[in-house]
Amino acid sequence: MGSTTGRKFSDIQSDVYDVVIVGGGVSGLTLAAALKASPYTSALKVALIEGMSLAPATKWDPSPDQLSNRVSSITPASQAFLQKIGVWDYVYPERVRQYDDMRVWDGVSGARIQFDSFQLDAAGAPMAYMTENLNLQQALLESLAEAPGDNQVKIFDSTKVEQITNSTDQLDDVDLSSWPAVKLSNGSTLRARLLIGADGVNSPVRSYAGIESRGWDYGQHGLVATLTMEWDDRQDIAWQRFLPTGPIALLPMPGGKASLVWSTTPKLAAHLKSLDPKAFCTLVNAAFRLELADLNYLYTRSDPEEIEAEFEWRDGMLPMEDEGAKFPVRVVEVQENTRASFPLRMRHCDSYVAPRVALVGDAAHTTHPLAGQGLNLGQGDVASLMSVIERAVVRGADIGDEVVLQEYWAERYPANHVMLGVVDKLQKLYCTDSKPVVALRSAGLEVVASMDWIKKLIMKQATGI
Amino acid sequence: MLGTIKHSSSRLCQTTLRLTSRSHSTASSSAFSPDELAHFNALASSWWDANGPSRLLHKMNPLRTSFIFDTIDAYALPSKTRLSGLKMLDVGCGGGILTEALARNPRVESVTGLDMSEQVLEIAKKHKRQDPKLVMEQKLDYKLCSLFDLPVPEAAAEGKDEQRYDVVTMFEVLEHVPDPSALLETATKLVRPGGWIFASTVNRTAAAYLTTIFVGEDLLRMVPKGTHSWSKYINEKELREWFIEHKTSVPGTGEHWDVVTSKGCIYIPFVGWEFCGPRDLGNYFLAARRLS
Repeated sequence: MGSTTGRKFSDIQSDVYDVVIVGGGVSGLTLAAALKASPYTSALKVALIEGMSLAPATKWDPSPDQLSNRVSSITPASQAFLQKIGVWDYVYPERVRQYDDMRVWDGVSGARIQFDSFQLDAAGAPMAYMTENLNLQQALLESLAEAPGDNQVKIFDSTKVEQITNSTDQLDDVDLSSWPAVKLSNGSTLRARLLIGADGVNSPVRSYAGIESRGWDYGQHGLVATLTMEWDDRQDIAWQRFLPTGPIALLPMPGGKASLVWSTTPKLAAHLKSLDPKAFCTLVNAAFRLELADLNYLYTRSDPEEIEAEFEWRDGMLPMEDEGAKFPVRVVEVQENTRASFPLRMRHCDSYVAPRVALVGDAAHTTHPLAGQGLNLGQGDVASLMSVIERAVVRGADIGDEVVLQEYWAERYPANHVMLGVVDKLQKLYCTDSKPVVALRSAGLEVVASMDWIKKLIMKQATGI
Repeated sequence: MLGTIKHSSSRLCQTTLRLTSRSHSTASSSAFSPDELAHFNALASSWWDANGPSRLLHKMNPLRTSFIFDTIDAYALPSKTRLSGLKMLDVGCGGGILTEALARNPRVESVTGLDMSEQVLEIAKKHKRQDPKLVMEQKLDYKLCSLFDLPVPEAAAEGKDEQRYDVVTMFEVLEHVPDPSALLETATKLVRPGGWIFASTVNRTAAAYLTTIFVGEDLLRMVPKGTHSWSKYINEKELREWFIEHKTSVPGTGEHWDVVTSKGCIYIPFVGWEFCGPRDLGNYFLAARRLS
């Protein structure tokens, strides 16, 4: 064996884990909770590292009339998975709003499509559940805290990953040179049989693994905000209008609130963020209700009273019968400090796995929010990776073995690729006002809208069930 | 294809005939031929490269372990067969792809891996050190020797515990040895009553030549050239009949071997190895159980 160092595995054993998850967002926490919920994997030693404090989630004490602006649409497939791993029971139900009707239209031509669970023979089946990411995070953390004491996930929050290298431990009995060693800002170094990158679009784990991420920026920003509606529309409808600058979506939230996702040019996003709150609400209403020419004119105004007056004059001409059928209820208020924007992009990694490394969620792929799939693709990754890990444990395989992990990649890459591709093409198709393109896409939409079987097929894809 | 099976004489029978005129020591020294040894020595360093020449073996591993444990679960006779605390012997363990998986299985108490190539076994030992669980649990042991040189463990007797193995595995081994019959014969002695032999090899058919040698080695080069030699393949029927002829009611011992199941398997690109197709066409797995 050559020279000995006198150091043994037992000296570092306390810092050696079966699974080290980098990232305490929804994907990372879901994987941790799933590992602890499965009888095959609950004995694995798991650590989770998060750079921010998780206290806002663990100590979350939300007030009923305040909603966080970080909101996700959870498909029935994702909800079923969270139910299966025992997390959904910890979600505050009064802060979840389902919708079972979706109305989407072309801002240029006015061509419309409606997806309605009732019309599509799935009465009562929700299309998605809207809730704050914090609600999910607190539920996930709560379920993790329920695991038996000696078997809990070790959570390092407010802890940064300083460096990831291959382990350089010189031990007499064990060779960890193929194991990732994660150096933390608290001074300790965790060695991982399997390192999970749930660390977002600029994933340090992905850089360590040398995995390429490809894609493009949409040149749009997603502006989010929490809005209060004029009254609580009990129809539970999600609204989306495709404007040439990007789609604007309004998703119902509990208590007569709604969540806005307005994809638009960075310049307009900055303008909308800085606008007087009342005028901002007026522009949101205008973006759903007015003709494009009128909307474009309003964008150029910044005096709140002028915007208000110009909008009311034009809005008054809309037919009464379209209220609540073609347009959402009016927005009356934007919750303070909830307007925020972020750049929109498409990214997809060549691979999700490397020896002893797997990427999930945004670390592996990022998509445009127009289909509300971002969080759900991550949940799909976790569900797939979990079943691969379970199978590996049953067969006695090393869960960090690349051959094992490749099964996860082989299952998820094609599914994600299709979803990212469809979303990307929709985005491109609708971000133009070129006449022939508008004519074609409107004719296409009307054909789809008239055929329930195609709509059912689309719904099936979008809900994951 | 059927014609091929018919007019090619049984390889196991031939070798059995040879075996009778041969002293045991010669069999021992030739358990593995020098050129086979050289071939596997050359592969040693890349054995654990998941994208290297041994990729197909790595991909086959899940099928092997599920075949072993599913067969034990499905056909176990509770009074005779142990379901856990299993003592296993992996013959021709190579770099330890299967051996490690067996050792990590909580149902397994101990595994011994045997191989004749020193270089390959060094790789196996080195790789074992990469998993602290394997090192700490001390369930896995490698031996550089031929099956013929392994001392036969003691049978259970008055005041003595059963030392023989619950399971002897011989995956992708029989087609690489000059005298498969002698190897099988020896293996059967090491198994305790109620225990198992799991083996896999390839049928000596035109289809197997086409897939394993022409496509696998020559055309797509998924498998290193020279890994297989067609004339050493063993038909499923031959292996099955070997157990019937040699091991059904061995006079005076009350010993009885039962070929419990055999399954054909193929490698499907982008999917992996699956049990699929007839057992007498290409690759196949076979399970035999010792009863008394």
